[in-house]
Amino acid sequence: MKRSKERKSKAKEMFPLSIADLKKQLSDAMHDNPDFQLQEFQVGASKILVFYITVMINKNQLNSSILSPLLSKKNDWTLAEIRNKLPLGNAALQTDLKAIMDDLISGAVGIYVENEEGLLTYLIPQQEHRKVQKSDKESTVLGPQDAFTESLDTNLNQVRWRLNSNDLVSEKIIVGERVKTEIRLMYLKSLANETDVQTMRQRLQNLVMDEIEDATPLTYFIEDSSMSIFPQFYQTELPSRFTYSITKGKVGVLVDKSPTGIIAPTTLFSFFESTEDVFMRWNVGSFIRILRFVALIISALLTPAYVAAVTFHYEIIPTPLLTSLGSSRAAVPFPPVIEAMFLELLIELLREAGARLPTKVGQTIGIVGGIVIGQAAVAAGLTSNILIIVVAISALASFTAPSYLIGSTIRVIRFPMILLSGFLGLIGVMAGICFLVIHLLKVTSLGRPYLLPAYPFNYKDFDNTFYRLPNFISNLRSVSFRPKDMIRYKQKRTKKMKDIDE
Amino acid sequence: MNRGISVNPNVVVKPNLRIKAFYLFFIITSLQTGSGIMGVPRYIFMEAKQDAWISVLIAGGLIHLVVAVMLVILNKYENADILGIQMDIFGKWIGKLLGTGYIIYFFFVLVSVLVDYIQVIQIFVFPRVSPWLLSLMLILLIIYAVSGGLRVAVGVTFLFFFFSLWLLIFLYKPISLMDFEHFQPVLQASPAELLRGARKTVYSYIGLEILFFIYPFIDNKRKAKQSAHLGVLLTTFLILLVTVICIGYFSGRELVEQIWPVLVLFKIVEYAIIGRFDVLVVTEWMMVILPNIIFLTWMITYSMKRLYKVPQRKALYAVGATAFVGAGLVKNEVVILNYIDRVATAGFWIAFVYPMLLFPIVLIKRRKYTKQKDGKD
Amino acid sequence: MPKLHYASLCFIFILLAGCAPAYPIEKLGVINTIGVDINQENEEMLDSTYVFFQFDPNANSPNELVSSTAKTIKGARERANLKSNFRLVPGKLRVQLFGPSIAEQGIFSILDTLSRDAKITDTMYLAAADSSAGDILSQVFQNSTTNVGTHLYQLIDTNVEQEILIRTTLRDFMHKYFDVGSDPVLPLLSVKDQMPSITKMALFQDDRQVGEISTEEGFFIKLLSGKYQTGRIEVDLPIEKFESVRETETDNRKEESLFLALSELRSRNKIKLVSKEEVKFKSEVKIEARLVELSEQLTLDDEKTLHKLEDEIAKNLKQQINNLMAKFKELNVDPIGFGEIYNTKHPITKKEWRAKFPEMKLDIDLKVKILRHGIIE
Repeated sequence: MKRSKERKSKAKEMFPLSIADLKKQLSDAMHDNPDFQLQEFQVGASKILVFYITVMINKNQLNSSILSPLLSKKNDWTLAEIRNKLPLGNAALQTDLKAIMDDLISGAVGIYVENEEGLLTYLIPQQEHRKVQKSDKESTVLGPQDAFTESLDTNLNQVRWRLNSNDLVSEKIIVGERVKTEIRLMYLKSLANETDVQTMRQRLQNLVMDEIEDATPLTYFIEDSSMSIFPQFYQTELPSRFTYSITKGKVGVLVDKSPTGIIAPTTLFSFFESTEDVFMRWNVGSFIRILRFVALIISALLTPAYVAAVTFHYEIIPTPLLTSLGSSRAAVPFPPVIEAMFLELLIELLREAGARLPTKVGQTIGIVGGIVIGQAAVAAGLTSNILIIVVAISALASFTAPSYLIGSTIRVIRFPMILLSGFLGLIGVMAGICFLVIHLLKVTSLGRPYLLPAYPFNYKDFDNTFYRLPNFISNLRSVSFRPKDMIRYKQKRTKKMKDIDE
Repeated sequence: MNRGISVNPNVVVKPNLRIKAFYLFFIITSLQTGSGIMGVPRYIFMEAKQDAWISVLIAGGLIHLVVAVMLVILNKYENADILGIQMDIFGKWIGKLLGTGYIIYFFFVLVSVLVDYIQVIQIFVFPRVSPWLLSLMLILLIIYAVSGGLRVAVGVTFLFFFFSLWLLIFLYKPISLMDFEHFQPVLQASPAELLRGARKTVYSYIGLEILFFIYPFIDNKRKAKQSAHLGVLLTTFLILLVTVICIGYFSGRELVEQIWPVLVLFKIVEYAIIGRFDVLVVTEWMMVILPNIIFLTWMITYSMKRLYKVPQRKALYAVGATAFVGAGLVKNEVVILNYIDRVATAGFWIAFVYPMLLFPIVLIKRRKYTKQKDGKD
Repeated sequence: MPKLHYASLCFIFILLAGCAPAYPIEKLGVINTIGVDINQENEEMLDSTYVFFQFDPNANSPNELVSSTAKTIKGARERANLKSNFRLVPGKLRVQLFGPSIAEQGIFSILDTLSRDAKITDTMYLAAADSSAGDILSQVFQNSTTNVGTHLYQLIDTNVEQEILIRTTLRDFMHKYFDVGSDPVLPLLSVKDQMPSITKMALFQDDRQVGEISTEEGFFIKLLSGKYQTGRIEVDLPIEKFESVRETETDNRKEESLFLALSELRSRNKIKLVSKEEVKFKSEVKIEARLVELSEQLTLDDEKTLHKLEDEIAKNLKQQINNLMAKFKELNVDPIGFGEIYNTKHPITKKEWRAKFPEMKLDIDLKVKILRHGIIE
């Protein structure tokens, strides 16, 4: 029955073969990996080879579900019998060495009965990953607190659990030439716009790259315009945010080994939305959302406005402020642009240092930097104290954005704005604003305009974008993204006004 | 001679490049209320005195007529713009010549708007800044916007319309200081003076020609009529508003002396947090003129592409460079005012009289054409 | 895309090369008050005194005073600059003070220069002085305990806000100056106990100061030409008419007249031209006010007494208006603007109105209504 050894090179003709041959082939393919375990058993008349990578599998499961049933039987085993008897469901019959290797590295146990036509692999992986924890990048006060972890299984579990509907589609796409990474494309079949799904699928499938570090770098490969400073896909580590967007008809992408979910298409304004707004009462939620837009304007324009006014437009400063501003400026030896750049840089340094250092040290740095350096800078005549207030307010405002990415974008935008205001005053600032608006008009996200619903104008989407309306008024999904089903729920509340005391 | 090879006047526009008629309203209003509105009350007042507002109303009525005529002309074709129509009516060569006329005219308007705004900045904000720098800044913005195509141009127009609309709120202050005795006695101006005043309003109404160029791009043409007329209505209202306020706010002799009375209106506005408002208005005015110059540049480059098959991007750079030189060169105030005056005169003939002349010709020519077509079918 | 890079690089270089000249505020001397006089030795020269903010961390007060002499107002500023180590800028000029020497000669040329400068705000106050403006400013500068720069401005501004004074901003002055048939009025500053105070109102014929009235008389200018929201006035009536209601037992003072103060006064007025030939006007004035102070105790529960009081006040006010009108006619100034009303019906020139004004007649219909008289019956 033995086949000649010459044929083993081609996978198709590999089986059946002797245990010794298989052992040799596997060890070769594994480059004599010390973690690679091969165990040979004799049960009845049949020789069985069990092999796995020790660090990748769950040993308890191996013992209880594979080894004990396998060894407790007295008579011969056949592959079909193993398949039937072992208390594990995910058996795969493999005949190809490469496929076997792929399974092994993802945590499979291989079982081969000598002289059978193929071997069985059981996936019993054990991936060490952290538990589901509270999100600290996007913290919310109200609502669910759990965050994605690095494990795709956990993440999928979280999403599935939230959206327990068979409408949720999860497409598996493998990306990476050298290191393969599993990517899941998720959307609601009955809602998501098909063009969006198709575009996203296409972009992921067409992606040719060595490996993916994380979801965030992945977005840089699939986004619409790499030149832009604005993020075009929303990235979140909150499953609640992820599922919220999917239920609005958007497309989500989860990447294995990454705690970040990608949502597309997005608009500029959705970066200022937080799921928390939905948990708030509509009027409070509206207030907070509008506050964030105001913060955006303050954060991008307050320091440039200061520089412009102090450098060129003394006449727009009200007289009482002029004297205090003037006397605080008088001690400063630099022009206002340099002064402002210096302080803004200081704040950025503090932020960066605080982010890199361990939490406790980071806090200390924040206090030391904020209070001590600020005070000292004023006392030393390096900056005026009014500018410290201005810079602090604008830094504070930039952190109100629920998305860390857009917050950093705004902080970076501020620097060219300050330069422009230092060169051309308010005219320069206005030119900067015009440039940004034109730029934002050019940006798209998954082919959809970035400034929706402001342009192309869609009045119906203004609620839930710029403000929120009570639920009995706002019962539609966003028109701009053309979901298949517009109505979120039927309006039931009677609109008839009751008269007083009726 | 070229009639044998009939030129197809129609334009094929890809669906994703089409715009909704809704935006036509904003395009027309924004283009008309460009830099002209800053100074127009003075010119009307010089002709019609305290009855200037009647002149504005007359001009508004006439503009509505022109819009109606333009729409009739355009509707005589399937999906044509003025360049195609001219070639259809006058033959290929004369049509191209007339189209070139449009290009040159738009270019001069473009330069006049640039020069006007630069001058305002120099007077109100930076007396000593180099006009080259300002003109470069504006032109880079234009190039950046126009290279995004019509979609971006329309977007800029639409958004900036709202971004600059809030300026109107602050007119409450001059309104509260208006002197209604300035309007009396009513109807002192002779009809001729009123008409001359109406003609002076024209510089502010320049921009209507966009209808001739953008019409093929409009998706739902049935609503275009309403949008266009509403746009003109709003322009008329705005011009009327500033004219009425200026007459009430300034004494007659004072108004005649002001070159930009509308900007001066804002000099009276003062708040506890903002000491001066006119600086802000001049700055904000960039948002008023940008849609204007962006659309002008778009029309120039688009026409060049359509007439001479010049790639639009190359045309854009060329126009940008020329306008940069043009706007940087003109510095003398008298020359500028003179130049703007001439552009306004040209605008009167090209934008308002020419469609009226074209109207009967198109009517006659196209009637034959449609009959032939019907016969064939 | 590389093209874009080059373009932005070029842009930055040009920005660096051609940026607007920067004048950070710490290098500026921000003028807030200017006093102008005619030089006593040389009639052609103007003496200008500037009070400005300068920002020096080591100085106790941010204010500084500089004076200079030159032929023009701009020239004087250049000269003053030579004396100051800060660059003097007029953008926050709040008060312009005119000495009697120049006010009597005419101030239009100076105001024209001011209003031509786009940097100068229209909301600055103008004021006349009864002695040299330079002296007044240096008095304030030496003796003011508060911020010298804003002292004069706040002095005028608070009184305008409380409707004790008429608004006399640059814009108001120019407006009245240019309008046919109305003359401007300015507050007149004088130094009392080394501090400035507004004692009188200066009457201007066109741009020349020709006379003065008391601030009390100034009340009637606004009463006849505008509206009061929260005005106040003191009236003295002959006591004998109220003998019957006088509560003598409480107060035995022997006064000849009854003083009373009206506050929160609201007024409306309407002036009509009744006859063109006679130049006759009819003025209907309605006053509603609160009685806040009485020099004698009167029993006012009776409606009749109240009416009597109202009638007496009206009579008194009418008398005062007539006296004032006589003064105006004598000086031939028309601060109320009767000429403007005449002009709306029958267009007239300034000169013609000057000839007509002394002959004008005014028929006053004045009604006073006392709304409340304190919280005690």
